[in-house]
Amino acid sequence: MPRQCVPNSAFETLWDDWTAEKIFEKTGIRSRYIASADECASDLAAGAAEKLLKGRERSTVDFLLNCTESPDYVLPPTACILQERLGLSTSCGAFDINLACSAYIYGLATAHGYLESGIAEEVLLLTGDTYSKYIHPEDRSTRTIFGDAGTATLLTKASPHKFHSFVLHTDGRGAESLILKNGACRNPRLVAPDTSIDENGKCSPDYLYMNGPDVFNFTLNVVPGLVRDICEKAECTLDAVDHVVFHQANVFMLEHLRKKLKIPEEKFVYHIEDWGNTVSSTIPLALEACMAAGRFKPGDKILLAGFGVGLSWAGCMIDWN
Amino acid sequence: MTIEAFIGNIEENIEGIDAGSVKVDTVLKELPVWDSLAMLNMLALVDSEYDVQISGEELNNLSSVKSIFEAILAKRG
Repeated sequence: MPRQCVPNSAFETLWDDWTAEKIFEKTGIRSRYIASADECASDLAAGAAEKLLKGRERSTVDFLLNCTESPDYVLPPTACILQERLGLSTSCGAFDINLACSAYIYGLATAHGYLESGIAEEVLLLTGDTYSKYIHPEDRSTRTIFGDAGTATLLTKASPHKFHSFVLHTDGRGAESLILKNGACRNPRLVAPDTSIDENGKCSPDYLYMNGPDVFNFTLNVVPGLVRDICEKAECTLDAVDHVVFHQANVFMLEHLRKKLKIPEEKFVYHIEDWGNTVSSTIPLALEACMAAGRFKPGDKILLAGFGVGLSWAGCMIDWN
Repeated sequence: MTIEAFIGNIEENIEGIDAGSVKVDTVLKELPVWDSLAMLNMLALVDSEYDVQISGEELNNLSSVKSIFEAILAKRG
């Protein structure tokens, strides 16, 4: 986690009518961690990786997948920088997966493919995002929701858990629903960012823009079908699934989806109150919390689903052993 | 599927709106409680009660409760 924790009360001075309690009521979030100016997503990912690899032989890692939309530089890929920083072998393949909220699932799918085909034997799957650096300081819709974090997962053929029934989707028609327009090649930013923000909270294309209603409708539209497709591929009913872990976007959306899919509360995982929406890290953070709480038992079926930027959506099933 | 039932749904599901305060010509987005969460509540309501989706843009272009109700009916076909 980044060093600095930002509770809701820190925002009270910004927007007159939003108290800490009101922010919690609206988002289900009490606090989030925010990277400082000198902390990058790669630092968060590397920190997590060091914790995971402590006491382990790291020369056998032969692939590094780094899920990030907050790279250190335009190029080279942050994954390459991390390979060196973590002291991994140069026999290691490495690249960034820039799919934000869907990235972890895409990362699992890629790792699974490489492990099954023999392209790799030990895959280090990292996540790290610092959306805070893209957000306008006065944009209440994004500033209260997003948090920064990094995680590390090690996937090997020897793992007892079985990952399967991957479903991966894209719809570029929704590209502008969650977009940071300026700064890349289409609209290079040659001057200082335009920091204006209108009374509706809309800021310039120099900052992250999220069309909340459109993204919400998108999830209502695609997530039920995604869940159905995963279950069909896995040849099991949703009732037979023991745990459902969605990308932790915001509590309102999660609760609505849970009810729409008729998933009982005890099977549905919430892990957003203290971290916010940490983009690529939400699913691994939730999984880790469940593991730490002893929630997963051998034989459990866990359904994962990520959805967001792109627009993209993806999911899979884990047979926990 | 009546407009009275729709108004009942709005009053029940959108926080800060009192029972009996919404009429067919009420312009929801002009109510003081109307904010981004109220908007999402509305989208959720339309999805769960009427099984259709209305976009944020469409909602912003409609004014009265009556016009929103008519748009939902049109989508249901």
